[in-house]
Amino acid sequence: MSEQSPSAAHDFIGKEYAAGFVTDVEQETIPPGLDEAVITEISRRKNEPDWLLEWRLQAYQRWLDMPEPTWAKVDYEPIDYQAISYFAAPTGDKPKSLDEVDPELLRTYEKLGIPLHEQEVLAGVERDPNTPRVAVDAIFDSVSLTTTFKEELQEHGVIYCSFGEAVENHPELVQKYLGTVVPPSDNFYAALNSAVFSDGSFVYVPKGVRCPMELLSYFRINAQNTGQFERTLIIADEGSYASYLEGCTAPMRDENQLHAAVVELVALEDASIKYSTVQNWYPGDEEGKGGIYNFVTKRGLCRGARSHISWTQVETGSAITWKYPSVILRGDNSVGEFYSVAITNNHQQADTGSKMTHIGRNTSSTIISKGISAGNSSNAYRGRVRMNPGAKQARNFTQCDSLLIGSKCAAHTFPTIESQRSDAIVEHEATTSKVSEDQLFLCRQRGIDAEKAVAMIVNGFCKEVLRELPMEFAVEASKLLEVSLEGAVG
Amino acid sequence: MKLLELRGLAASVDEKQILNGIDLTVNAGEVHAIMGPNGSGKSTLSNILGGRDGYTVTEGEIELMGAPVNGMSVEERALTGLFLGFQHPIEIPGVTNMEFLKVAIDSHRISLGEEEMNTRDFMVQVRDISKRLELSTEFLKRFVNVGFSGGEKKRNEILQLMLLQPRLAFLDETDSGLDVDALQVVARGINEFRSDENGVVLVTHYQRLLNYVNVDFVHIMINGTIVKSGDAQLAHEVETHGYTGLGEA
Amino acid sequence: MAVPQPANTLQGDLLKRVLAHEVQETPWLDRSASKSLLNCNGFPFPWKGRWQYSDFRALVEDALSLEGAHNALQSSHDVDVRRFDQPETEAQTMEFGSSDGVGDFPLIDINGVLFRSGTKLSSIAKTGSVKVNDANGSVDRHLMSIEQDAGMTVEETFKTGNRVVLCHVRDNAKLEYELTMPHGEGIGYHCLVVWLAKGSTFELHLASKGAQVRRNDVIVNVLGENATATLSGGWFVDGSDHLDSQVYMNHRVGGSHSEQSFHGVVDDRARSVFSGFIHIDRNASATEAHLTNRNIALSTQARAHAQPELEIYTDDVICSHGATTGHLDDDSLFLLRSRGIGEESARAMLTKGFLRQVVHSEGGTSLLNL
Repeated sequence: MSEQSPSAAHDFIGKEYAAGFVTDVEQETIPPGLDEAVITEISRRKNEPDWLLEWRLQAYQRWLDMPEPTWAKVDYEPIDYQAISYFAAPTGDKPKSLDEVDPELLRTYEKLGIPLHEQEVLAGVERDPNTPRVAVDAIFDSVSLTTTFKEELQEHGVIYCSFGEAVENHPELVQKYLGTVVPPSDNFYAALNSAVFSDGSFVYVPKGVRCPMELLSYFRINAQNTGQFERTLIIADEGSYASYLEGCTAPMRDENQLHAAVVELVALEDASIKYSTVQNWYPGDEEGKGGIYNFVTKRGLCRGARSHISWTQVETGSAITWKYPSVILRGDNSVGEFYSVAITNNHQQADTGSKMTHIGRNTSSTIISKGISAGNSSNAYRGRVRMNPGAKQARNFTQCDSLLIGSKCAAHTFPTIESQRSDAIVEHEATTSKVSEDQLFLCRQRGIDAEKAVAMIVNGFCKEVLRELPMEFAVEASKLLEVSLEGAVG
Repeated sequence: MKLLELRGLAASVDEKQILNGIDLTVNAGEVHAIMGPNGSGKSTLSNILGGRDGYTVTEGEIELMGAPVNGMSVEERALTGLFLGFQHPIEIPGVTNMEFLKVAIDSHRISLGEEEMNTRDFMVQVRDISKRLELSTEFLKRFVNVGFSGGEKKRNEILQLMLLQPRLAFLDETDSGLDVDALQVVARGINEFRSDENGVVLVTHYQRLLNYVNVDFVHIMINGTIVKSGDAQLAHEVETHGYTGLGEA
Repeated sequence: MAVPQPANTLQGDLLKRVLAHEVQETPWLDRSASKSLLNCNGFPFPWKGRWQYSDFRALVEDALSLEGAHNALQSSHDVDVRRFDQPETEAQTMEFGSSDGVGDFPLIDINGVLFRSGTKLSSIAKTGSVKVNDANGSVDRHLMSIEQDAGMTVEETFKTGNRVVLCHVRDNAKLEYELTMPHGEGIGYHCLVVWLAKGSTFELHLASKGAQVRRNDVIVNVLGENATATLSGGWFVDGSDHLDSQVYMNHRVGGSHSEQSFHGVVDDRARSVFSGFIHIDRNASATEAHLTNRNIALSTQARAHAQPELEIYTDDVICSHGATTGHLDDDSLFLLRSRGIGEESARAMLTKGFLRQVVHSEGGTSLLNL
């Protein structure tokens, strides 16, 4: 495709990472470095109870003994964990209302199209009485700035707040569930997160309640030399439902920044959690300089019978992505789903996929993964489907498709099927191909320019996944796909 | 008004010479048929007009709407008014027919300095054309050509033709693989489309489409060159006697 | 050359024992190439990835313990054969290949250090044929070359022991390989490496039962344009047997084509593993590669693992893989039973039908009783 349309290539370059600005706000940070004193200081600043500090310190001890994982198909210079600052927050006391929030910060969210006033709606979404409303938890570096619609949610018994507030106001829930899905010793990055995690979101939906609005957490890295280590815990009690969305951006900086989050989902009997991510961390420049290292552990536990956990992710950002949103299907008849679009361009590297562990009877899981690689990037799907001996009549279907744009990119598919049940059915299918010349020719012959044609074909390729996104996010995701492929055609 | 003029056109595909000097002029208001056996270069001609990669003009010239096409991209040629009907319409999974048609018509309008078509007008027009082609509106929601029967694919081509209203329609074997009913629907579409303002070139292997569409000129193409031209009568001769013997004519 | 020290001392000891091993009977063979590769690459660590399901140490210990040697080969007269265990003058400089350029396969070089018998042969005619019998619990090695425009049929039987077969298929040559692996009481490692030059063709017909532990590696390196590899095979693993089959399809140049289809049936408490790896190099444009692997478990305690992988470094490719694990199709079973066929026979019929789709060789058909 390289000789095909030189003009389109030039037109396409020049759009840039729109969220790449820096907010000029006074911050207090803990100086770079990691030891027990730093962890104690983080815990102290967050007024945490002793048990949590103890939990962090134990995780830290585990972390010291763990090797950094090397099995993923990603390549980067060793990270100096002592050069990272583990806490950054805007100075001053936590604002009690939006009026007390630094106007500079408010402008940041305005620019990003994230509504912090309850009467506003997400950018790009027309105000329509039928549009479900969205409650927002805005997390800026290590702290949560504000959470909207809290009172209204409370009326339904739904707790939606920052992780810090949850520790303060609902310690029994946090203590009961924290680390039950992703134990601190799970892996290197999970252990690190457990030791130093700052803020994140906490959701609890009580029995039988259908959460009346979408819950959006918007993560923003702003400070320099700082890592973001958020922790999110979502619990859906019996028969409840929650739809949670997550968005993330960061300024354009020349150095790499580490983001190592942990997300735990717990669905009890008949509960259902839908978790959607549009990941747009700064991917680095065209030469591969800068960008976020996104090393994230996300896992859901279908604890009760007939529970349902669904992950949908659109991964366009980050220099390196290392994440495998997974589901442990413990409850009988529980359902796990993973829908993913991962786009890599320039020098981005992604190693992402899912693990479905079937324990309960009649459990079923679906994995649909669409990888698009362009430029010099590398994009890998890695998955594991395991049917444990008790998973009577369990089922999995996996479909992984890769689309290649340009001859220097790479696409990999590494699925593993481990079946210990003769009555279980596991199906995996994968294809890899390039954007078809014939499709492009057809579109262009009908007058559609090459860049638009590719965007259309890529969008079509991802449709199965995009339609899983809540409407508010689908629009943004489609646009992001287009921007992410800039410079790829030509 | 000359819509298309080929002067001594020779062309190669992947360095293999396929077209060996073609002269052809299509004026507004005319319908031409190009007939020839398999491998005579008909599809190559279609691709070379469209500006497809890998197809190279080695000699001679192509003029579209009175201007040489040198250096024009595929979409630029399309926006000038060239429409290719494909012998094997390609599938685009995930892209709905509706979306595809809308983006295509908008690209044409934008190139003319017009506004994008508003969705309501677009729907009205598309529904109207679909109805005339006996296509259900359900079909608009399906992915481009995916899972379409042979007949549906060809009718979809005619739908695009009628929607985009090009100056010159170059239809490559639009009749192949159609049963008689579908053939009649397609022919009706072509007849509705044709006017004093535009021109049509039908590339076909058989004469049967010409039973439903009146043509002004028939050209016989063999081994990459037009060996004989005439009126509709010539098509009947081919039907009766075949292509043998015409090669030397 | 940096020598990575295996972190695990058990591995280190094992490696030392292999390197220290001298095969007394064949002093004329120069094994230094294999030794230096082993020394350089070490043993796999951790015992994961390719060695996740089969015990690497057990296979090496087994190879170290095997002492027999015998001539396992009969060939047609148009194939030139020389034996490694005979001190011919030229044999002293005989090359017998290594894992160099093949990738990280230490067992190829362990075999290179330990083998006691074997042959080097070449076919120059179109009609060459070779029969390779069971290694009978010995370590042996065979080096085959199918010369330009020549052809050869290999019929091999393998049960236990440690065997490496290295085949060079030169320009426009053709290799047809029937590999039949009956049930084995003991441990077996088999590795077939094939290099395909321009315009060459390789067909593999595999049929296998299990063994106490059996690992079967097939490595195909496509080095020339317009080469074609067609691999098919089936296995039936029962009792408490273990069969670990791994296929590595490496497309190093473009314009080549590979097709693979493998069906496996696992019964009783047996375990089957299939890993099918397709690698396409940056320069290998216009490559088409497909793989399917389907597995059926007949009993509740049977285990089937499947691990198909695609690793692709260029865009002009058409690739696919598919893998399934499941059980016999209930609808088909019902259909047969509704026509009066007893459940047992219906199951047998469907199982056979499932394997017949991929097993065509005479040896395979009779081994699997199809």
